[in-house]
Amino acid sequence: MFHLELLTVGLIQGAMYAMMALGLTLIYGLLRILHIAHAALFTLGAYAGVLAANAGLGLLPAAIVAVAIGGIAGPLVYVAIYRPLLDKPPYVALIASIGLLIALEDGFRLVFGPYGLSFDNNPWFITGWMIGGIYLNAVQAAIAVTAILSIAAFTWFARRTRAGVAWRATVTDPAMARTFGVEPDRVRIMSFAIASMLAAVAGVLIGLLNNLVEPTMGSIIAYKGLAIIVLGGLGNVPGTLVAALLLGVAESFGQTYLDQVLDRDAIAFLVLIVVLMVRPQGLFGKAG
Amino acid sequence: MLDVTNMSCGYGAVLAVDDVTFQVPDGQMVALLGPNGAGKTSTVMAIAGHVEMFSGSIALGGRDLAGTGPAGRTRAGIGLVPEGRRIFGDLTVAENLLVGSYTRSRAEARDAEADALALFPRLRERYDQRAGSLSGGEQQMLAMARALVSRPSTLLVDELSLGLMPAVVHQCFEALAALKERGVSCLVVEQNTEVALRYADWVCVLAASKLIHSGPAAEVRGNPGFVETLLGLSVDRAGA
Ligand SMILES: Nc1ncnc2c1ncn2[C@@H]1O[C@H](COP(=O)(O)OP(=O)(O)OP(=O)(O)O)[C@@H](O)[C@H]1O
Ligand SMILES: [Mg+2]
Repeated sequence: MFHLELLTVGLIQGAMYAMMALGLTLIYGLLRILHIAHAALFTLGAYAGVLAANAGLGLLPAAIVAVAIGGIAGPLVYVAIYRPLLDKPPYVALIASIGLLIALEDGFRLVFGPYGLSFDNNPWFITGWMIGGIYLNAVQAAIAVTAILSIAAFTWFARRTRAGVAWRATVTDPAMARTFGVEPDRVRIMSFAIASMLAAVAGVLIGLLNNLVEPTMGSIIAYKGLAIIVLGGLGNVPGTLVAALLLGVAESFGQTYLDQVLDRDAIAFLVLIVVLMVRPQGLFGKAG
Repeated sequence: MLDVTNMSCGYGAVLAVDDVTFQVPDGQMVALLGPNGAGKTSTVMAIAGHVEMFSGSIALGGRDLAGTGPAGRTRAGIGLVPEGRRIFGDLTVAENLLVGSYTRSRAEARDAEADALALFPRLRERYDQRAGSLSGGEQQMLAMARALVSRPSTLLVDELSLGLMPAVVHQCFEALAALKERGVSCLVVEQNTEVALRYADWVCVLAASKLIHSGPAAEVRGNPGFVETLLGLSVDRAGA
């Protein structure tokens, strides 16, 4: 029962990572940019959620506001920061991305204060159920449900819609997709919108889970997200989802059994280092 | 009618094609032959809008294509079957055709797809398979079908025969011949001179960025070695 509980908690954490890493891998697949500033959109979503909720909206409408803001802010980041750098070597965009993350984190600190904000009213935090001997609160349940729904929605979009197929074609061969009338810039804007909406909702959920929203809440997740997409085989969507879940579970078990030796956040990097020593192309990347 | 007039193109400071003039009349097949690195692919990709044109003009049906991007040229009636096929390997056959018809309305796309599948029934059998898992011949057929579903008036086909068995090559050329009957004209780049001469109406030969021959295919049909002869001659002339 104890192991089942660890597994459940790990999978829920992994589902959260999956929502973050999915966006990172989409953007990497399309632009070959490591979008570190993704974490700032996660934090932005969390602030939007907590401010909207504390202004009197219910949690669900507040989350929707946060997703909408993420969906606007992500494309703005692309248009303002990345698009002008597309012709430059990839490290230029990487540096810009790190700079943007730092600037936004400090922006949050200046505007909202360094100590963070809590939800005035967080019913999901205090509501919980015993399910099969495992205690889950409503935020954890919401993370699991949101992750499943958003990944299902994304899969439907990518497989079943014209825009989704065009997007996948653009990832494979942008010049050919463009020949047939798929506008690459529109595809990129769409990818940033989708990725940032996922990040924003993840931010709201983590804000609820910890009942705290603070300026640097995205930092660790940013670096873990990178570890996950490398493990998943850069740009590989299913690989990324599996790697996210594996990391969540590894952390949850590691935290229990390696508690004396390693801090939770170090486990991610231990896993990354070990996997890359054995399989430099990542768990699911193509060799060579 | 595709008109290429005094066209030079290339990559930055590299001149790949130098002052080339030829036409592809409606309902005709023109073969573009020449040794490796002559500038054949560059010519095709300049017509499709992917390689920068330095001077001259490219016009389709009397309309100048300068300033029109690749998608605009597809809308105007250019259909590209690029070197190396460049199908979307992670997408299914159906999805490749969907992308190919992106410039058309859904209804037009459905009709065009039915026509393309009638021309290449093999693709119907593979309809929901990953394109990357198809055989080389099937991939070439898919590349052609993907271009056809945009309803082009002129097809540009680069190195159709590369790596394919002779039977498949003939099947593909027969498809081009059938298209010609329907008024679709075609510019084919070929290493396989013999096959190209059998099907083409007109032959152009590029060597070292320049057009060194342009004439009816019937003149040279019995003589597949004519390109080598031509190259020998042109080298001699340059040396003299
Ligand atoms: N992307 C590129 N950048 C710079 N130069 C290029 C590029 N592509 C081709 N070239 C050069 O342009 C010239 C013509 O190349 P092109 O590919 O058009 O020849 P080709 O006739 O198609 O040859 P092949 O039979 O090998 O396909 C060559 O000298 C080649 O090196
Ligand atoms: Mg070529």
